[in-house]
Amino acid sequence: MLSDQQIISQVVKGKKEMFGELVARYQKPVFRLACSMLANRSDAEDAAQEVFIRAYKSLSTYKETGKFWGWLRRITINMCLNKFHPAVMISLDEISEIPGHDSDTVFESVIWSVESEDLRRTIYHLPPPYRTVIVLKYLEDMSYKEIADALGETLANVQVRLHRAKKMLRERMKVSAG
Amino acid sequence: MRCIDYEVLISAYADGELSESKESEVEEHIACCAECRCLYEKTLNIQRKISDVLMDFDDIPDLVSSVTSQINTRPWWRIGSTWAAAAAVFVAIAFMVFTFMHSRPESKTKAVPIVHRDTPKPVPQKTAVAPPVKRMEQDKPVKSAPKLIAVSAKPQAKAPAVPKHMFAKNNNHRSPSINHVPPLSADKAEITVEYADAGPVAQYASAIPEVGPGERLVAETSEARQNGKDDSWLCYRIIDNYQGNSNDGDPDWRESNDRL
Repeated sequence: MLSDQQIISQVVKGKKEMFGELVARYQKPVFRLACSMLANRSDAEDAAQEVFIRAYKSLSTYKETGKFWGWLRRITINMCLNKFHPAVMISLDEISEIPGHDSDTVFESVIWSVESEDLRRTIYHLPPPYRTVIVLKYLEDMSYKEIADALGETLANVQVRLHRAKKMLRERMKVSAG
Repeated sequence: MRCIDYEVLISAYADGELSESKESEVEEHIACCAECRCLYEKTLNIQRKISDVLMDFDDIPDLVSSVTSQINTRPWWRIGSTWAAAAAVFVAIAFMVFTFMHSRPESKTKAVPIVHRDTPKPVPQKTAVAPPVKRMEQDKPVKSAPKLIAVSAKPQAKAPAVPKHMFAKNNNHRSPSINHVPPLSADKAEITVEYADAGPVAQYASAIPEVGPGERLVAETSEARQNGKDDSWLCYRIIDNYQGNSNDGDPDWRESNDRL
């Protein structure tokens, strides 16, 4: 079985049919990440395709120093953040600046907007900045520093955002259970 | 520190993201605080559930075929680029040939007959201008200057453009404009007519059938000047006569020329 790097070398040399092997290997994590971030299956499928097309076009710039999945994951995150929902991907600071949108109000809006008892749907109904950190932490198992680098946020911001997101989910699940 | 101040630290502690010193501080606190210990356990619990939910994806679409088909599809602009370039060259050559064939012959056949025009069309009485216009015989047609109907050797003075509606009655040609009208003498004027846009000479010739490209006109101006008209007015009037346009009862014609 060829390694990722061996496949990439062959694709760069012109065997583009080999790229399908990379797609087969990583389509599940790419789609799962996109679906979790976008909370929409259709958008996620489009995003996943775009991710692989962009990866193929940029494959010659890929450096062997890191894992291929780390590189591909970064493309996926950027794609979801920038292309599909740029308007709603506001930062935590922006949320705090909106009058009447402190963490409690956001929490209440989550409570009120969620109809389902399902935790997945609860996660999907989180405001995008909170959903993103939750997905990157508990789906991708990224460290706080990796998340901060990926989102261009400070470490403290990521820490506070994750705390608030978990608090919202805890409270939501308590409401559902109780 | 109060318990509420530990909440963020407990969240990070549950993720294993605290430094050793902060870890020790949180461990000491939750060891002696039941409420914060409960919060820590709830946090661990929700984290496990989140991971389980997010990892639970069974229905993954097959992206291999769609992605590879997109990769293998060449953009249309790269398909047969050689043939596309050849087609572009062919079209360019065809355009040049077409332009040449529709400009050169007409300039000769249409322009020459008017040289022998001795009897100008009668001018309506309203204009008080006798248009005995003829081409100066010593001037040879300038074949390479399709834009010009007549050329003047006099210093050029910018004249107003011919109103478009003056030529509206000839719908199948482009509208020429007066370039400049320097007077030759007290009773003669030499006019220069220039078309606003380039194009086949045949269209110019049909615009003013009696005048070919590069030809010069000399007009009698004495009568017009006696009636208070200047050379520009005379030139427009001449062109109008040559085109067969009547100014009788045409207020626009009078109005436009009165402005000049």
